[in-house]
Amino acid sequence: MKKVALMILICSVMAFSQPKIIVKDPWVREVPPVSKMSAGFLTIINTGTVADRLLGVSCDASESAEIHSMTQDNGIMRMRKVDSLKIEPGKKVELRPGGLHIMLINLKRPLKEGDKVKITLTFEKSGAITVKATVRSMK
Amino acid sequence: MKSKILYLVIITIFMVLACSSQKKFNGTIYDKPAKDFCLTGWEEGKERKVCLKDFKGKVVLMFFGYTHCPDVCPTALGVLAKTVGKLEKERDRVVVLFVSVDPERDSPELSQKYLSHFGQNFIGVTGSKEDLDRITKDYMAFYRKVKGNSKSGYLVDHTAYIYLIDPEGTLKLIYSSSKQKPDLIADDIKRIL
Repeated sequence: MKKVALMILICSVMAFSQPKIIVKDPWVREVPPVSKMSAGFLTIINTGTVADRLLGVSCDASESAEIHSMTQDNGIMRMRKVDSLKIEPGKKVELRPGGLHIMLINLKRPLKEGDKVKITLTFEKSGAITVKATVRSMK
Repeated sequence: MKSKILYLVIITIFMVLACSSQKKFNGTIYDKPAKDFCLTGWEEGKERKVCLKDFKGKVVLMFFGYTHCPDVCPTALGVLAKTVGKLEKERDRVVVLFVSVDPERDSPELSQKYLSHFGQNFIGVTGSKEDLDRITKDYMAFYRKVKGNSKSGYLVDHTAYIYLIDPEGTLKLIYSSSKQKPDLIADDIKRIL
């Protein structure tokens, strides 16, 4: 009996020990029509009890998409591809201009202010989450 | 004794005035002649030579970047578009000059088409690696191609300063990324023009 109770306890703890990912405020930068590159920004919040990891991104408006970091070192901007992004429980990670962003590579169509694009984020534990991002003008 | 005090007072007043007039600018004051250069631009369907001295009498806002840059360059150009939008009568006397440090992918035509999106008087130029190496050195700028595992081909590490060259051809002010705000730059332009 004790064993069963323990099993139930372990199972229920395991069931509750999950990341809960919320993706907020997704937007994509409007770029000149001749441009083949753009960037997407959003905030990832983990309200769960364990960490999760963003493993990949894709977008319906570009041939490929990658997570990129941006660091500034003595005034030099360095952009690098990031393989994955850990989202700690109770924490949020902001992808915003001048920092982490989703690089949209080889746009399939020009992005105009107000357009909607779909961005899919694939997490290690939470699976795929798709959000609709609005194209915002820079001017 | 009296004359000494008077002398000190005058000196102090001058120093205070000098300091306060210096403080009026939002960008970092550089105040040295801007080295001239010529690169290749694009106008009416063909390439044309564009030199910095062509813009004497105007304020030039210059930026080194590349069109495949997804974040920093469009952000800076957006700031410059907003800056120009804040000007009124000064607008015709302001030129934005974007120097592409990625001539492999950015032709003068592509650079200009990219720039035209941001407004009138936005000029895109590029040139040979030798020219760009010399010019970036003259302007304390830096760029380097970085081959990585990105599907975008290669990335370019680069400095992202906005340079303000005044109508007399003086490299007057430099804006680091934290100072790249339309209000701050527009204020300085109004003061200069």
